[in-house]
Amino acid sequence: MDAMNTLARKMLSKADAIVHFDEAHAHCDYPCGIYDPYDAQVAAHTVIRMDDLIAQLTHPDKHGENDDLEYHHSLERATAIKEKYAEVCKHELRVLWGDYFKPEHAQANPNLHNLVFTAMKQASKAKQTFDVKQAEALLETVMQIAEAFWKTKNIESKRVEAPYPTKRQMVVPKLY
Amino acid sequence: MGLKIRLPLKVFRVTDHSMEPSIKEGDYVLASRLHRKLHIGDVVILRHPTRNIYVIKRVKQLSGGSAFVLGDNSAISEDSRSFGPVKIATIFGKVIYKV
Repeated sequence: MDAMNTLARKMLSKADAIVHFDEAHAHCDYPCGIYDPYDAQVAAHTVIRMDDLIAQLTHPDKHGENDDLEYHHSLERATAIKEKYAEVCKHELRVLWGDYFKPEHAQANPNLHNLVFTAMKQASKAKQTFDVKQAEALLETVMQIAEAFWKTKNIESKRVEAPYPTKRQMVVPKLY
Repeated sequence: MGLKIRLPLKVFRVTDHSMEPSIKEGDYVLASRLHRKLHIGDVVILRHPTRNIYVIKRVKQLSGGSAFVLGDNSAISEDSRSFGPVKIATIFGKVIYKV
């Protein structure tokens, strides 16, 4: 029987090279089933933190030349990181929205598409300004998306104070 | 305008790993349209509900005109747990032979 199978496989393999059989995907969209709104929230916190740090910078007018360089260096680094993590946040939300959320999730939560749409705009706004209120608005929407995410899995979630210097909240699943 | 022939039997090459260990990547399966009566435990080929691809899954539950399908390798399978039950009409056929 094994010999028959081996022969049949060889013949099918040769036929496949010529006629190209359709593929039947056992389908796993690696990393299969592993989605989490955690990274989007961390990214939103990072944007807030950069706004906070930028606000704490002392303007060089009050100091000498060296301080001027240090100021611009710190400002540019914080701005670049803010830009990067606002984009990370958008990327993470796109993955959730495009790969994880299904039509039935949007039916169950009619506000889902609007939440993602709003977060995208808020992330762009957070890039454009040094206004921490924009970043806070982004975090709030991302947390609402996180709550919607855990609801689709029938897992309760809660808002807790995040263990970061931002001293703001994040949504975590009640797994225990 | 070409004539589209729907053969009752069709060979598929399996990709990915979500039906392991019973069906592995690279296996060939023969699916039959003639076996329309499905049973729990049958392996079937169906159209993915939202993507233009065929997928291979095992029937876990049958209810009315719908089937709940799962991959044998549940840890990595995308199946009815995420895309929901599928209409039996969207099932291409039952796998009757694997090599």
